[in-house]
Amino acid sequence: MTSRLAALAVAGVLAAACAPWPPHGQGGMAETASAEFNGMDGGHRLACTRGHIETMVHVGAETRQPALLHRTRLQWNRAARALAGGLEEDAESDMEQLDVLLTDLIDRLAGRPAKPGQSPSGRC
Amino acid sequence: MTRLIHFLIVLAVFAATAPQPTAASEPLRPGDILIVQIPGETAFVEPIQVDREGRALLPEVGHVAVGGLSPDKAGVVIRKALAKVYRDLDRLVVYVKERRLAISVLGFVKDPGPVDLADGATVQMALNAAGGLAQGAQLDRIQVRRQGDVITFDYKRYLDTGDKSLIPRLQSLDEIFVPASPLTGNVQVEFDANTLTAAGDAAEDGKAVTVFGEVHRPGTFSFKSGNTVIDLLMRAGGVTRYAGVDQIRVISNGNPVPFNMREYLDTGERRLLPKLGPGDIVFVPQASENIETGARTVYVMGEVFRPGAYETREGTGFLEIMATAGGPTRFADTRQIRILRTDGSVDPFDLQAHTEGTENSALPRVAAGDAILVPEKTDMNEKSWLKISPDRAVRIIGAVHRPGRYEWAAEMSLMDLVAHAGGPRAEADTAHVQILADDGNDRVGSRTFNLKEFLEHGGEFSSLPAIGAGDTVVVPELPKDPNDSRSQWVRQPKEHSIYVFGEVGAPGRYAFNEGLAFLDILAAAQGPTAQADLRSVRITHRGGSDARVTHFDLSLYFRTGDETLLPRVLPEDVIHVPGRNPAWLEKSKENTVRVLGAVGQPGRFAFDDSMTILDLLAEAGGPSDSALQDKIVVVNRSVDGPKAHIFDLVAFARQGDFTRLPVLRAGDTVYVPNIQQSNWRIFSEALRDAVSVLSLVRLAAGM
Repeated sequence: MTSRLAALAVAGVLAAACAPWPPHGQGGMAETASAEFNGMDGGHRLACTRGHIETMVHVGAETRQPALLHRTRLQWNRAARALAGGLEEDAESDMEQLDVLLTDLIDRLAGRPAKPGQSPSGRC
Repeated sequence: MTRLIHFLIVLAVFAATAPQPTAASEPLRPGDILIVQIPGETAFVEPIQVDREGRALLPEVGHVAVGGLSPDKAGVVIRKALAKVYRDLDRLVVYVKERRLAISVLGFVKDPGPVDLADGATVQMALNAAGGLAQGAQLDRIQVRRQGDVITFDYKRYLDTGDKSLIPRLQSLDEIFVPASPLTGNVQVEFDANTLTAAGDAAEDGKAVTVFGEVHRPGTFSFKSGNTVIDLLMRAGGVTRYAGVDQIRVISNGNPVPFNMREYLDTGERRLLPKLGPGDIVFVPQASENIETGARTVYVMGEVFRPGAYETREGTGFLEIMATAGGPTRFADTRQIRILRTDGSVDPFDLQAHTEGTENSALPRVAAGDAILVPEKTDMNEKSWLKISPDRAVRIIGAVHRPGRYEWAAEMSLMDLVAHAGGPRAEADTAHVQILADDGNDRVGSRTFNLKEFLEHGGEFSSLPAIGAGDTVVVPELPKDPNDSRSQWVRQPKEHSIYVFGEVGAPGRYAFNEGLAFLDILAAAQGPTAQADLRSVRITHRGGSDARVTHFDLSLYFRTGDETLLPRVLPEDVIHVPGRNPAWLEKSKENTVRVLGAVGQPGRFAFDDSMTILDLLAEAGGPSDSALQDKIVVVNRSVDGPKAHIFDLVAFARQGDFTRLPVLRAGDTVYVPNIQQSNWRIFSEALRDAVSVLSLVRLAAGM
């Protein structure tokens, strides 16, 4: 009887102690480790966009459109973090906005007037 | 009776037929010249003159009295006297060559003494022979003394009339005496004619009229019946220019009588002439002693060559009066002549405009009693601005270096005018230059020109606003500093203003135009303060129909220097620079991350995608001692619903694996649990509870 009671108590304690915690998060600083995206859905697109941004840096974006470049980079960070953190839906939305910013940046650097209505998709 | 008549008739006939003594038979008189000739005797060549004692001086014989003898009888006497010396006197000839007058002229003549005159000579000739009258002679009382008799006659009257009967016929041995005028006094001094005549001509004071005061030759003048004050004044040389002719005083019989000569001359009424008699006094006072108040006086004052009171006649015009006063001087402001009327009204008159024909007004009518004032020019060193009439001038006022009124020509432009006025001052609001011009309907229309834009970007000259004479150009002024902007805000229309609020040095309402930019107005407001939250500057655009607010990250501009970041602001916009610690309601949940639980400073924190959870925890004061650091919960606000992850800070600290940092974005929530909520703690506490239960059960079983 006593042993039975003891077993019941231990089972109850274990049940109480094993409350479910959420999974561990990741991707909070994904921009520093681009290798994380290899094989992910959207990882290629993100890498492609990164390449575009770096190209823009080379053609003088840092001096000619520093603020827009800054915002584009931040948006890339946001998209990368979301993708690496498992927020796929958010990453998709972020990359849409990233494309808008990138298109704007390219247009500005090319001296063309910004075209807000232009679809950014298909760039990468 | 009849006998008596016959006797008288006979007597008359006898008298008429009686032989008259001829010149040849008249007795010899002193001065007569005799010819006594004895052929062969050279001593008798010269004529012999009878001396004043009636004697003839004969050669070898001496004086022979012949005065009073007839020539024939004198010849007998001479022959008888010569017979004593000369034997042969058969051819002796004695005759009168020339009859003469021996006269003495005494008194006030230049060369008194005996004079020898031809027969028939007059008093005038005698006076001339005596050298003429000396100064101071009394002409109306010259005397001829003859054998104890004194004949006084008025030589002056003879000179006036030429009537010889007024002067006595001279006889030999007559003595002419010229008396001195009483005016010469008792002391012998040198006189001149002017002095003598100036002193008047009266011989006797009691019968004279004294004239003095403002006359050219005051003196005492003999009074003649019928003489008037005017006559006396004329004899005194007339009145001087200083004479107060309307206030002449006449003392007549000891009674003062005023005499207004001006009125008399104006009217000619003889009743105005005071009665004048011997012994009266006429005084002509100075005009300056009294103010001219004549009935026909016009006063001219100010910058004319001879200001003063002038008499006018009916019909005397303005120009005549001005000319009489010598005309305006070079200091006269002839555009501002004023005519002060007797009724107190004042009429302006622009003489220059009248002479130039630019003003069609007639010459002003000037009536007696009016005063003409010719004022002085205000500044004689500069050309008077009044020289330029309004239809030839343009005005520029406001923030230029030399605002004023300038002569204008049609070929000039606004740029010429601004340049001539010294250019705009530093505080000039050249973007809103206003031009006031007559719109043709007797109204002044206003238009605005953006000179600033023209100066900065250039443009066609034809784009400059047309300016004509008579127009006014206003260059408004920007406030010099924020304090000015407050004090002058009423002068500043809202369409030229912008509003700055919040954490700036001098929030307020500022003058603004489209040529200015965001940084200009931010700098004018002395820039953001240390408490300003530069990341969320807000600009409310009020100009459009829809409400629109721009959020602007000023700190990003400062970091990147990207000019494209700067928002375009327009007049009437509102700039708000919030503080760093605004009320929590003002922070939107989308822009912040909430940090809850066991941290030093739980709260809501601004977050962007360059930061990580580590930055956030640091900003929130870090986990507290009671924090469950290996179970930090992050709740992401994902598009497909909230998603939770945990972050093991302890493991991260041990391993340094940045890949284990959870995704954190603005809008998310971070919860740092307390150590009480760890699994082990829960387990140990539950175990302890379970042991306690078990112990109770066993005790109960043992019992």
